[in-house]
Amino acid sequence: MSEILLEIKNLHATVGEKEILKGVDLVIRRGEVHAVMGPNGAGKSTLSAVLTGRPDYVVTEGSVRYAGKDLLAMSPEERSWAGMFLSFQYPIEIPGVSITNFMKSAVNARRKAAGLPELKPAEFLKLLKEKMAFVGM
Amino acid sequence: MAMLEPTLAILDETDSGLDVDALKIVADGVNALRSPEKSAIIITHYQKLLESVVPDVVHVLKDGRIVRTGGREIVDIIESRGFDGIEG
Repeated sequence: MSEILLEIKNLHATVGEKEILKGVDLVIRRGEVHAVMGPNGAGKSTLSAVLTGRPDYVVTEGSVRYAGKDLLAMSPEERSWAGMFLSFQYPIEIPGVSITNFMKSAVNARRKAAGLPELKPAEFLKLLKEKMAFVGM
Repeated sequence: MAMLEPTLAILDETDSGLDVDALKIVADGVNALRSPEKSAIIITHYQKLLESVVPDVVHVLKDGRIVRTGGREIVDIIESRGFDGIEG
Protein backbone atom coordinates (compact mmCIF):
# COMPACT_ATOMS: atom_id res chain seq x y z
CA MET A 1 0.00 0.00 0.00
CA SER A 2 1.18 3.50 -0.79
CA GLU A 3 1.81 6.26 1.70
CA ILE A 4 -1.12 8.07 3.34
CA LEU A 5 -1.65 11.52 1.81
CA LEU A 6 -4.73 12.70 3.68
CA GLU A 7 -6.04 11.50 7.02
CA ILE A 8 -9.25 12.95 8.41
CA LYS A 9 -10.19 11.93 11.95
CA ASN A 10 -13.52 12.63 13.64
CA LEU A 11 -13.95 15.93 11.82
CA HIS A 12 -16.70 18.19 13.10
CA ALA A 13 -17.39 21.55 11.47
CA THR A 14 -19.97 24.28 11.82
CA VAL A 15 -21.19 27.03 9.54
CA GLY A 16 -22.80 29.81 11.54
CA GLU A 17 -24.47 28.01 14.44
CA LYS A 18 -25.19 24.87 12.50
CA GLU A 19 -23.10 21.72 12.78
CA ILE A 20 -22.72 20.28 9.26
CA LEU A 21 -19.93 17.73 9.66
CA LYS A 22 -20.54 15.40 12.57
CA GLY A 23 -17.50 13.17 12.74
CA VAL A 24 -16.00 12.43 9.33
CA ASP A 25 -13.24 9.81 9.08
CA LEU A 26 -11.41 9.38 5.78
CA VAL A 27 -8.01 8.10 4.66
CA ILE A 28 -6.63 8.72 1.18
CA ARG A 29 -3.38 7.17 0.00
CA ARG A 30 -1.17 8.49 -2.77
CA GLY A 31 -2.47 7.59 -6.21
CA GLU A 32 -6.03 6.90 -5.08
CA VAL A 33 -9.16 8.47 -6.51
CA HIS A 34 -12.01 8.65 -4.03
CA ALA A 35 -15.61 9.50 -4.78
CA VAL A 36 -17.76 11.18 -2.15
CA MET A 37 -21.44 10.86 -2.90
CA GLY A 38 -24.46 11.90 -0.90
CA PRO A 39 -27.78 13.69 -0.97
CA ASN A 40 -28.14 17.47 -0.94
CA GLY A 41 -27.21 18.98 2.40
CA ALA A 42 -25.18 15.98 3.56
CA GLY A 43 -22.04 18.10 3.96
CA LYS A 44 -20.16 17.35 0.74
CA SER A 45 -19.34 20.94 -0.14
CA THR A 46 -18.63 21.76 3.52
CA LEU A 47 -16.03 19.00 3.49
CA SER A 48 -14.26 20.49 0.47
CA ALA A 49 -14.52 23.99 1.97
CA VAL A 50 -12.97 22.85 5.27
CA LEU A 51 -10.17 20.96 3.50
CA THR A 52 -9.19 23.99 1.45
CA GLY A 53 -9.51 26.42 4.35
CA ARG A 54 -12.48 28.54 3.41
CA PRO A 55 -13.28 31.18 6.05
CA ASP A 56 -16.65 30.93 7.88
CA TYR A 57 -16.26 27.17 8.23
CA VAL A 58 -15.22 26.42 11.79
CA VAL A 59 -13.68 23.11 12.78
CA THR A 60 -14.91 22.30 16.29
CA GLU A 61 -13.38 18.86 16.73
CA GLY A 62 -11.12 16.37 15.01
CA SER A 63 -7.94 16.54 12.96
CA VAL A 64 -6.75 16.52 9.36
CA ARG A 65 -3.21 15.55 8.36
CA TYR A 66 -1.97 16.19 4.84
CA ALA A 67 1.39 14.81 3.74
CA GLY A 68 2.31 14.44 7.40
CA LYS A 69 1.41 18.03 8.33
CA ASP A 70 -1.43 19.52 10.37
CA LEU A 71 -3.60 20.77 7.52
CA LEU A 72 -5.91 22.80 9.73
CA ALA A 73 -2.98 24.94 10.91
CA MET A 74 -2.13 25.91 7.31
CA SER A 75 -3.50 28.95 5.47
CA PRO A 76 -5.37 28.38 2.17
CA GLU A 77 -2.25 29.63 0.32
CA GLU A 78 0.00 27.19 2.15
CA ARG A 79 -2.40 24.37 1.29
CA SER A 80 -2.25 25.33 -2.37
CA TRP A 81 1.54 25.58 -2.31
CA ALA A 82 1.57 22.09 -0.80
CA GLY A 83 -0.29 20.77 -3.83
CA MET A 84 -3.97 21.02 -2.93
CA PHE A 85 -6.41 22.10 -5.58
CA LEU A 86 -10.15 22.78 -5.55
CA SER A 87 -12.14 23.05 -8.73
CA PHE A 88 -14.82 25.69 -8.73
CA GLN A 89 -18.41 24.57 -8.93
CA TYR A 90 -19.42 27.91 -10.38
CA PRO A 91 -16.29 29.85 -11.38
CA ILE A 92 -16.50 33.60 -10.83
CA GLU A 93 -15.13 35.85 -13.52
CA ILE A 94 -12.98 38.69 -12.25
CA PRO A 95 -13.52 41.65 -14.60
CA GLY A 96 -10.31 42.54 -16.41
CA VAL A 97 -8.50 39.33 -15.48
CA SER A 98 -8.23 36.85 -18.32
CA ILE A 99 -8.14 33.12 -17.67
CA THR A 100 -4.61 33.09 -19.08
CA ASN A 101 -3.43 35.73 -16.63
CA PHE A 102 -5.26 34.05 -13.77
CA MET A 103 -3.55 30.73 -14.49
CA LYS A 104 -0.17 32.38 -14.98
CA SER A 105 -0.46 33.96 -11.50
CA ALA A 106 -1.49 30.62 -10.00
CA VAL A 107 1.29 28.65 -11.68
CA ASN A 108 3.94 31.22 -10.76
CA ALA A 109 2.74 31.45 -7.15
CA ARG A 110 3.21 27.69 -6.87
CA ARG A 111 6.63 27.82 -8.57
CA LYS A 112 7.76 30.59 -6.24
CA ALA A 113 6.68 28.57 -3.20
CA ALA A 114 8.64 25.59 -4.54
CA GLY A 115 11.74 27.77 -4.98
CA LEU A 116 11.54 27.70 -8.77
CA PRO A 117 11.92 30.76 -11.01
CA GLU A 118 8.71 32.27 -12.38
CA LEU A 119 7.83 31.40 -15.95
CA LYS A 120 8.30 34.14 -18.52
CA PRO A 121 5.24 34.91 -20.69
CA ALA A 122 6.57 32.94 -23.67
CA GLU A 123 7.43 29.93 -21.47
CA PHE A 124 4.02 30.07 -19.87
CA LEU A 125 2.21 30.14 -23.23
CA LYS A 126 4.24 27.16 -24.41
CA LEU A 127 3.26 25.18 -21.29
CA LEU A 128 -0.37 26.26 -21.71
CA LYS A 129 -0.43 25.02 -25.30
CA GLU A 130 1.08 21.67 -24.30
CA LYS A 131 -1.46 21.21 -21.52
CA MET A 132 -4.38 22.18 -23.73
CA ALA A 133 -3.31 19.58 -26.27
CA PHE A 134 -2.92 17.11 -23.40
CA VAL A 135 -6.51 17.54 -22.20
CA GLY A 136 -7.79 17.67 -25.77
CA MET A 137 -8.90 21.30 -25.91
CA MET B 1 -5.78 21.50 -12.91
CA ALA B 2 -3.54 20.22 -15.72
CA MET B 3 -1.49 23.41 -15.34
CA LEU B 4 -1.02 23.13 -11.58
CA GLU B 5 -0.56 19.35 -11.40
CA PRO B 6 -1.99 19.10 -7.89
CA THR B 7 -1.01 16.37 -5.43
CA LEU B 8 -4.58 16.33 -4.13
CA ALA B 9 -7.30 17.57 -6.45
CA ILE B 10 -10.78 18.11 -5.07
CA LEU B 11 -13.43 18.20 -7.78
CA ASP B 12 -16.52 19.63 -6.11
CA GLU B 13 -19.50 18.78 -8.30
CA THR B 14 -17.55 19.74 -11.37
CA ASP B 15 -20.00 17.60 -13.33
CA SER B 16 -23.14 19.49 -12.36
CA GLY B 17 -24.64 21.36 -15.26
CA LEU B 18 -22.29 19.88 -17.86
CA ASP B 19 -23.55 18.30 -21.05
CA VAL B 20 -22.18 14.89 -22.11
CA ASP B 21 -19.45 16.36 -24.32
CA ALA B 22 -18.17 18.67 -21.60
CA LEU B 23 -18.37 15.83 -19.10
CA LYS B 24 -16.18 13.71 -21.37
CA ILE B 25 -13.54 16.47 -21.54
CA VAL B 26 -13.48 16.62 -17.73
CA ALA B 27 -13.36 12.82 -17.37
CA ASP B 28 -10.59 12.39 -19.95
CA GLY B 29 -8.60 15.19 -18.30
CA VAL B 30 -8.90 13.67 -14.83
CA ASN B 31 -7.97 10.22 -16.14
CA ALA B 32 -4.96 11.59 -17.98
CA LEU B 33 -3.72 13.17 -14.75
CA ARG B 34 -3.99 9.97 -12.69
CA SER B 35 -0.61 8.80 -11.43
CA PRO B 36 0.82 6.86 -8.47
CA GLU B 37 1.73 10.13 -6.71
CA LYS B 38 -1.47 12.08 -7.27
CA SER B 39 -4.77 11.64 -5.49
CA ALA B 40 -8.22 13.05 -6.06
CA ILE B 41 -11.54 13.47 -4.30
CA ILE B 42 -14.50 13.60 -6.64
CA ILE B 43 -17.60 15.00 -5.00
CA THR B 44 -20.72 14.23 -6.98
CA HIS B 45 -24.44 13.54 -6.88
CA TYR B 46 -24.48 11.44 -9.98
CA GLN B 47 -22.87 8.23 -11.14
CA LYS B 48 -22.29 9.50 -14.68
CA LEU B 49 -18.78 10.94 -14.15
CA LEU B 50 -17.81 7.82 -12.19
CA GLU B 51 -18.50 5.62 -15.20
CA SER B 52 -15.56 7.28 -16.97
CA VAL B 53 -13.38 8.11 -13.97
CA VAL B 54 -13.53 4.87 -12.02
CA PRO B 55 -12.81 5.58 -8.35
CA ASP B 56 -10.70 3.31 -6.16
CA VAL B 57 -12.90 3.99 -3.15
CA VAL B 58 -16.47 5.28 -2.85
CA HIS B 59 -17.83 6.98 0.27
CA VAL B 60 -21.41 7.89 1.06
CA LEU B 61 -21.78 11.04 3.13
CA LYS B 62 -25.10 11.42 4.91
CA ASP B 63 -26.01 13.96 7.57
CA GLY B 64 -22.40 14.93 8.21
CA ARG B 65 -20.95 11.43 8.51
CA ILE B 66 -19.53 8.85 6.17
CA VAL B 67 -22.03 6.03 6.52
CA ARG B 68 -20.62 3.63 3.96
CA THR B 69 -17.24 3.04 2.31
CA GLY B 70 -16.55 0.54 -0.39
CA GLY B 71 -15.82 0.03 -4.04
CA ARG B 72 -17.59 0.78 -7.28
CA GLU B 73 -20.55 -1.42 -6.35
CA ILE B 74 -21.82 1.33 -4.03
CA VAL B 75 -22.37 3.58 -7.03
CA ASP B 76 -24.68 0.96 -8.51
CA ILE B 77 -26.60 0.57 -5.25
CA ILE B 78 -27.19 4.33 -5.12
CA GLU B 79 -28.23 4.32 -8.75
CA SER B 80 -30.84 1.61 -8.26
CA ARG B 81 -32.09 2.39 -4.75
CA GLY B 82 -31.18 6.03 -4.16
CA PHE B 83 -29.42 7.40 -1.09
CA ASP B 84 -32.23 6.05 1.07
CA GLY B 85 -31.06 2.59 0.03
CA ILE B 86 -27.80 3.22 1.91
CA GLU B 87 -28.15 2.63 5.62
CA GLY B 88 -26.83 5.38 7.82
